[in-house]
Amino acid sequence: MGGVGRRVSRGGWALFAQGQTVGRQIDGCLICVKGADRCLRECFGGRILERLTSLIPETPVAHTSLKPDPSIVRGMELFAGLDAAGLEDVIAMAHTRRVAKGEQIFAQGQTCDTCHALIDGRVKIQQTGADGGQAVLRFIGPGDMFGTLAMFMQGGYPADAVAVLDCVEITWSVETMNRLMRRHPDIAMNALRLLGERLQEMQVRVRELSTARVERRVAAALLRLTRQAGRRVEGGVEIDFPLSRQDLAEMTGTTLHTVSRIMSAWEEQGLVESGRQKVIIRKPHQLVALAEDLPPAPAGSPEKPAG
Amino acid sequence: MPAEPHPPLRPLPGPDDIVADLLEAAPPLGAVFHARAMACPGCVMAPFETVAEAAGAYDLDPDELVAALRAGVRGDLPGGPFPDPHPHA
Repeated sequence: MGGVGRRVSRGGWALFAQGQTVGRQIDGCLICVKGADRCLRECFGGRILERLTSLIPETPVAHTSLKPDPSIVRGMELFAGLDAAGLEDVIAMAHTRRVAKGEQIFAQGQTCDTCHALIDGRVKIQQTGADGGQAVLRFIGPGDMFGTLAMFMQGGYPADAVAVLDCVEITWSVETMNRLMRRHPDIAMNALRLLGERLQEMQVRVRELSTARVERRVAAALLRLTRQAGRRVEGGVEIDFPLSRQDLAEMTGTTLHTVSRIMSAWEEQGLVESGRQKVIIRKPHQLVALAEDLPPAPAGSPEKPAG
Repeated sequence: MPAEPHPPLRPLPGPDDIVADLLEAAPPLGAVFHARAMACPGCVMAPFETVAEAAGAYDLDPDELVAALRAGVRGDLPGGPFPDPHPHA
């Protein structure tokens, strides 16, 4: 067995090279919490990891005090531009922990005392209004920060964070993150940029909610999730984490009934296939055309380009 | 002005290459797609689709597209202005 990717060894993360054997000697590794092909791919989110075909036997082992290798945070946008010493600093002040599927990581309104980064798994960020109505703000994937930007806000975490899969996360206290930002201004600059990106994304979603018909909003939400967690499968692209129609409704400001009606119609057209908490996009181009409100392709073949 | 040849890709582009991988390895090849009114560069689905599948979605001949990509690697890239992307099937 072999592949391109990383495995987690006792006490740290290590790179393993294509062709290198992935054996059973990794007892005690965080990576053992799941089948490694999915875990590795999700962990590092890179396409190269999708080529990994090996499976490491499932051996759940709890670790709460591992200090991961700095390479684990190298790909995280918050720490972009940091040199090796900076990354060492970031890691030295981090804590690692496992979170079981379904566990709440923090609650809306709770004082923001911890900054989080996901190594493996998937976290749903959802907000509840005074009337009990819920909105799914985003899904967090491996390599993403969450609950971090809340440190700049008043009033605690703005939303709940709930693990939708078994997760591994690293955390820093807010005091620690403040210290890191003062010591490494690149982190603060990156945080500003991330805030800008989140704001931009929210503006797009507000525009969609205000102007786009619901079918287009659902298509756009599926595309966002595909960008974040798409996986090429036979005959389509799968959104590789549990996603319910209720989630989609809460992401797009509509009702479960409406999402069900739209998804059923798309299934009849062969555009998507959805099972229990699973969505496969069978006709990706049509979904893009719907999300971008492009005119339908002419009957027969599209016009041949001049080029 | 003739395009600068891109450092040769080894192996040369093929029909089973993932579009996003190809564009990441050789960004100037985006011109080959643009010239055919294909919206692949920057498309959210580019990481999940092969060159042959992208050609099929636009009803283009995959062999012709592969040949054009290979020519592009040799520096023979189409120049703009490019047509607007076509709706696809």
